[in-house]
Amino acid sequence: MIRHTNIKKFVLVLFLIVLPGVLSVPTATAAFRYLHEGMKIPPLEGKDIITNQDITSEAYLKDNNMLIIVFWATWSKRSLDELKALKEIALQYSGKSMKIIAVNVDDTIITATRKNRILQIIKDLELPFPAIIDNNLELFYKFGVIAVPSTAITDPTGIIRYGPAGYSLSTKDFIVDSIEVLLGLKDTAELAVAKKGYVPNNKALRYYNLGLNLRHKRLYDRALSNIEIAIKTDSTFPVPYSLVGEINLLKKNYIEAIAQYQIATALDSEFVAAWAGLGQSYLMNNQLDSAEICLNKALELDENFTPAMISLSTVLSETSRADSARQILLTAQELNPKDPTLYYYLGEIYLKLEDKTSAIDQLRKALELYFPDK
Amino acid sequence: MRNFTRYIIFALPIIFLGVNITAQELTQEEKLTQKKEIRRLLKDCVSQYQIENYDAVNTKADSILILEEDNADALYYKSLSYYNVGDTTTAIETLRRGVDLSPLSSRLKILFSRILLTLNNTTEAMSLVDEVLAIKPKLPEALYLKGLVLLAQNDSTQAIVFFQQALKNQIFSD
Repeated sequence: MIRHTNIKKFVLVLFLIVLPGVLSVPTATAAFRYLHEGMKIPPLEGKDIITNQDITSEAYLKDNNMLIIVFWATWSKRSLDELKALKEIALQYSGKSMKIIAVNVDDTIITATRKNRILQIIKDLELPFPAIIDNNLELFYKFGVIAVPSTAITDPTGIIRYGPAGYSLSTKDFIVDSIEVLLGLKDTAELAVAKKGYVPNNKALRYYNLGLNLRHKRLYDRALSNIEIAIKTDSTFPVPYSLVGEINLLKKNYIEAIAQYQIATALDSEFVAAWAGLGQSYLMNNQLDSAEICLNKALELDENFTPAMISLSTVLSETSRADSARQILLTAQELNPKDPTLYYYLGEIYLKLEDKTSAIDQLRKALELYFPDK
Repeated sequence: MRNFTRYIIFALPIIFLGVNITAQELTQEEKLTQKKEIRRLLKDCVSQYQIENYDAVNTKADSILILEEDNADALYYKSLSYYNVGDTTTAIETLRRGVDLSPLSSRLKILFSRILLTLNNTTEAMSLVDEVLAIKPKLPEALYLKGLVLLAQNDSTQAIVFFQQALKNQIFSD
């Protein structure tokens, strides 16, 4: 069994692998790793699974439609729930300037058998909107989808306005609220959804994006210089502080990471990824109590935020609450059953609980996801 | 006459060198064309494999093997196709040939070992996976496979160790 310090090290690595950029998502939901509210979606295209017609986001946007893109998979029950809800929504807003595209993210490689299964589900659901397959999960990675399902809601210019992760009881209402706001059907002040998001200064956003790209290229110092300009240009834009926190976490400057995340959360108390980043930084700095508070706060804001669940499970495991850690990871697995790291962690927890059989089962599942049977 | 001799002395090596260069360039050009053709065929082979058209996979793999008899990728997909249609015997024959022709291919040995494991031939499966690990001791898929073989040999304690190591290496390498 690996030691606690090693587990923490893994959590950090995982957090930073799973999360590059996520820590920079400003609203209470954090569906995407690389895109957040205020950023334009990358062009989306594919063939409608049923009609084989070309579907492109640009064609829809050109006709001045707002767009809902849902990433779903046949293996995710919540995905099917969301598709059913979106079907109702599509019928409710039929004739309005709103379009939906379902993007299937079942797997990197879609075999003929899998394709037939997807087709069957789409047919059974009788969706009134097109569904395409994300070949090689290109869109999945471009967006940086965190949980399945995840939804991007854009305005007619293709700018993401809202991005709910996962699908819970409130998601449908959230999507309806978003539509009402974007179609101008209701006074935005009445709607909870209208309170979310921060519209940054354009120059600040530009420098932030530049910093984000440099961070992905691991050019941390150059990234920090650009983010600093973003912060100077718009000091109330919370996202750059979070990115500075993330880079400090990567550089193992935990104290500085904590300070930056604290600013981000002070500027936007509903900034899920920043709360998760703060919790992670506390965890790495061995401040387990503070870590737990922050991670719980992140999960309170977005119960589907699996990266926070991973960190929280480590905190619980390190404070002799392996059984609670197990429960959290089981929930996370339900949300994202294709994430092998969740099985790895649960395997480690079972080893702590001295349940060797379950541990083997979990470790094998993790490995099967990495190396599926041919 | 002296001029002619001088000309010959200087010119001949240049002529020969020139001819040789042309001949070499042609060979390289041919090689390049062949490599391109193999790449194209391999791409088709993978696409056909994805849509589970195993006959086509075999045809494409055979075309590659005509051009390059020890092409590990072609041998891999050919074996995999046989295995997927339930012809384990031919899959194993192909893999044996593949391992002989391309002894450094971890991919072939891992597949071979996995198939042997499904047939409960844990001794040969272990031997193959150990060969892979001797060359690539950190390869996560090989460590995983070793764990599976150990599990089949009822050594769950060691199996866990290899599973953990495979996952650690895999996660860090991401």
